[in-house]
Amino acid sequence: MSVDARIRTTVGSFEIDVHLTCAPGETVALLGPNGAGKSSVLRTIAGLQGLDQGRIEIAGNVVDDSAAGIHLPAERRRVGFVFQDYVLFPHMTVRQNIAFGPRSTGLDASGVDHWIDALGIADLADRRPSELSGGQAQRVALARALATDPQLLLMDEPLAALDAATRIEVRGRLRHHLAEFRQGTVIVTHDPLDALVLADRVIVVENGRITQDGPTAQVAAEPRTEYLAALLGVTLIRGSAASGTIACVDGGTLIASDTHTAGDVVALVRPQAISLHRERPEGSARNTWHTTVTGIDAHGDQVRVHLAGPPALVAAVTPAAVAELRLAPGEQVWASLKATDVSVHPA
Amino acid sequence: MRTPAPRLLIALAMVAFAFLALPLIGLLLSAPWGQMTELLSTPAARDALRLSLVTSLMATAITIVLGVPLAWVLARREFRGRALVRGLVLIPLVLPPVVGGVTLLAAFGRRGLVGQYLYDWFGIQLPFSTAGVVMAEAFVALPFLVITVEGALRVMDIRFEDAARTLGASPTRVLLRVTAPLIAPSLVAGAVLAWARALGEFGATITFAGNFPGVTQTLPLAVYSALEVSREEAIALSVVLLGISFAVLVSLRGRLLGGRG
Repeated sequence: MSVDARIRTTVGSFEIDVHLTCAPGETVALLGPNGAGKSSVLRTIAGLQGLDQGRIEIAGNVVDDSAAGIHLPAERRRVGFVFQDYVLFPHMTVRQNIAFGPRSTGLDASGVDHWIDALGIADLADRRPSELSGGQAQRVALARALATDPQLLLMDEPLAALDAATRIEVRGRLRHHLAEFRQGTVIVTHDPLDALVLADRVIVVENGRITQDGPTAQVAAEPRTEYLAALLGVTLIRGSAASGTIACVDGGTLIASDTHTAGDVVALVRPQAISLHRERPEGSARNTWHTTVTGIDAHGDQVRVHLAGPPALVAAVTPAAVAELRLAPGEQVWASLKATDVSVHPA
Repeated sequence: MRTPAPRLLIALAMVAFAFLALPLIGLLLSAPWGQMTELLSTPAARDALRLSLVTSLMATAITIVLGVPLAWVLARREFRGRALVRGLVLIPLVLPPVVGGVTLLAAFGRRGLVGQYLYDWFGIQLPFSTAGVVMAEAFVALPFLVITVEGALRVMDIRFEDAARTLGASPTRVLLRVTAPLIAPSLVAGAVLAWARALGEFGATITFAGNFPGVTQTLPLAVYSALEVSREEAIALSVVLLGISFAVLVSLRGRLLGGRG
């Protein structure tokens, strides 16, 4: 393992309790809302803040062990850290920034040129950080972290400081660089797209706890928490299933084509799968509701219509449909959903 | 658009400015410009000038060597009684300098708290010596350096130090290569303020070190003594001090005259 960290710690009145692993060559995304404790986890692994209880191993070396009273200072952990807004030393050139790590650890300075070339920043080498664009600064920060030959790379919201256009370009480039890095990488982000594009595995952190941990594709397809479902644009409904009928926790029922999954389940519904009608629909859809519109908001070229249910649902329709159906908060509307569009997963 | 100003306000502002400017103009107008070289090259004047430069620079060096670590501890370490320590550090700023001299006597005088042992064991006598002048100046100048540097350390983004640590830098290397360069402008400003304060020191010096020409008589003391003998000499020495003050102001103009700092 590049890192194996069990961390229990209190930041202010906020409690964090997580177990996180990352294998060599693997990129793990810590995905969660702001204030979930993701950055604290990262800083604790780096040794920039202490932990109350737990044990952290980096590349097989114990760097923190509360039981044994071990706490290795940050400078001896061999961890590369890329900060949110990069924190390049303003009084040094790009080259001096990158050489700072190798000089500190007595490492061969020839690695500096390697990373300057690898990240395509040779023409920036003599500039000051104040003369760099956001995307360029991000590359310099990555080169500076990698030049110390770290056993683990930690990145705190590496794309958050960039504007939307730069973000797309930098995200793609970052993915390419991470693929070449042989050690583990842990990325903290609140943007699902960053996690989906960059990570092999996604760990969802909410309120200081891990709520989901799995391969990226699986986490994306089967969100297990309301937060993640909303983030990915699907509606998550909890309930208990028996032969294809789900009694929803918040009231109402859902008919699903999956008749095998039973017991406590989460049902996922894509907003695009829900049709809205002025009159009672006739057809094959097994789920129909006569319900109240509770809210309407624009979402790109789609309009999200929030429905009271039960269960509460979100339908995605075109602006034309909103006009045609005269949808407005408080209006009654018919909604339908095919049983095959309800995906059921054990909770 | 400018807000209309009450006339009384403008009038009082002008009085305030005149109050500050007139004495300076008076000094410059009454200065015996023709005899300046003569007046300043008397042995007493030259001694005072030399003594002032040497002692104030030594005092500044002491404030840097001792003040930077104190500022760092106050800015970066949490400990019980930190507020009390900070309060004590600031006391020389508000204490009448004469009282500062008396406190120095109480601590380092021949029968003082520490002074008696310095004298009994090592034969060291600080009051009424050039070393005493340096001590008195350092005592009043130290807070200026400490508060300036401490403020800079607090404002500085601590993540620069975090970044340096994750890059493998030892605490000493972080301090010398990252922290120090980033607070350098404030360190310089603090040192210049401390030096200006040391150069102008009068009350604590005359109380603790006395007024002995060539040994403890610095420029301000020489001005005071000269007033009783030769007004011209006092004015000439004052012009020198004014020139130095003006130079300090110009060197710090960015910080003190509403610039970026």
